[in-house]
Amino acid sequence: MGLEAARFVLAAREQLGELLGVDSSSLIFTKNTTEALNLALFGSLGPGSRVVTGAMEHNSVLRPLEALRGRGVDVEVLPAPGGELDLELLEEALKKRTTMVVLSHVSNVTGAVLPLAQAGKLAQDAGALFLADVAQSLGYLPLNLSELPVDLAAFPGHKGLLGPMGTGGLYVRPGVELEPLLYGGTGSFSDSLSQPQVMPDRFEAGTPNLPGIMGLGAAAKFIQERGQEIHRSALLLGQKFREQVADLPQITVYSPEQVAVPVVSVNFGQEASEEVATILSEFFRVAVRGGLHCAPLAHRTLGTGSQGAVRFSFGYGNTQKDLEGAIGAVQAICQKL
Amino acid sequence: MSLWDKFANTSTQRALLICSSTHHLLLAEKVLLENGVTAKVVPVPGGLVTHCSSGLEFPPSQEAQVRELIAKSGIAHEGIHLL
Repeated sequence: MGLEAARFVLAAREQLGELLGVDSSSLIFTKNTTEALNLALFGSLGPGSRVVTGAMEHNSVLRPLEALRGRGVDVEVLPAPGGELDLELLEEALKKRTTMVVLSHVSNVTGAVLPLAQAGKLAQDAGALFLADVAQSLGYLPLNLSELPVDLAAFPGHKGLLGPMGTGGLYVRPGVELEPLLYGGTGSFSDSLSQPQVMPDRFEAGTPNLPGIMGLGAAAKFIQERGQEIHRSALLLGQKFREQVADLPQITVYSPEQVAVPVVSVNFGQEASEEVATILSEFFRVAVRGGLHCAPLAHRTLGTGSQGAVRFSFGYGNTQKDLEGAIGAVQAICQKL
Repeated sequence: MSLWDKFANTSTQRALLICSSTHHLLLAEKVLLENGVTAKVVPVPGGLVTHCSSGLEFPPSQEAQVRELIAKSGIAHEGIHLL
């Protein structure tokens, strides 16, 4: 029975490996991107280390780094003019000996795509590990990790991969040294009191989330078979939405003109974004996310530190009718301002 | 009049319980509804300094009962505001 369950886990890992272009043994299952990021950060940084990140990052990076700062890690957060990554600033920061650079591929606030390959190359050329947070891009953008200058990559199961919530993983490039976050039984080397070195056992102590992992494997297979085409419709809806609401004088748009992932963040005059989000839900049945999106520095960068923003995200199941409903709701709210 | 009030057509005075997290907000909603308080999750109006973007609206006449219930249930909250 246990062996049969392990076969399902292997099948899911191989499916994901194929999708990401990497060996399945280099993939660790976690409960979400946050856990994967924590494993990568706490597993490679300690007193005397130095890490460089950016102001557009999510709290899943910023909060572990704040905790690590308290443990003697030198943390530099690069400003992000206009919500973009400035490669010259990164290059300057890397003149100091740096252990790791951690950056997201796509902003969860604006949907802007950061130059992952260039940033990774700068980091590796400077002798630093490059950790990519691909939470917003995996499934939406082509991502062959073996062809990118990436040492570690954290990802969720439930976003672009369409898998179950509560699943995720971390890619660890072969040769990268990392300390585990969890220690315990792995079903291997059971006569030893030390955590095994072998991948992926080293980082997967305890009973795995079998139903979640099986769901994630099925999702990866679905994406692999159909390709990024499955998100084309959502991208078109996002692009049309952006174009139409940008013309309304009461609306401020924070997302790039060309929508690369189907996320469009806006504000309605000076109205509190959480209030608008609840109105959209209660009175128009349009589900959005208001507030700071767990990215306080990104919002300060955009000048929305107190207002937050209303983020519209189009997905695989959305239709033209949903788009029209969302635009109609935006127009109706604007009329009341 | 707030944007929310324009849609909700609320003109009478309301009381708003602000909890410390989504867990405590939803726990409070359950406890209040089970005890006959007319409670509803609504957005916290701009201007109220809080870490939680949603609160529980209820009739001000039930404030004493609400205070007793949340104290008894150990619900972490930031305060009750009259709007």
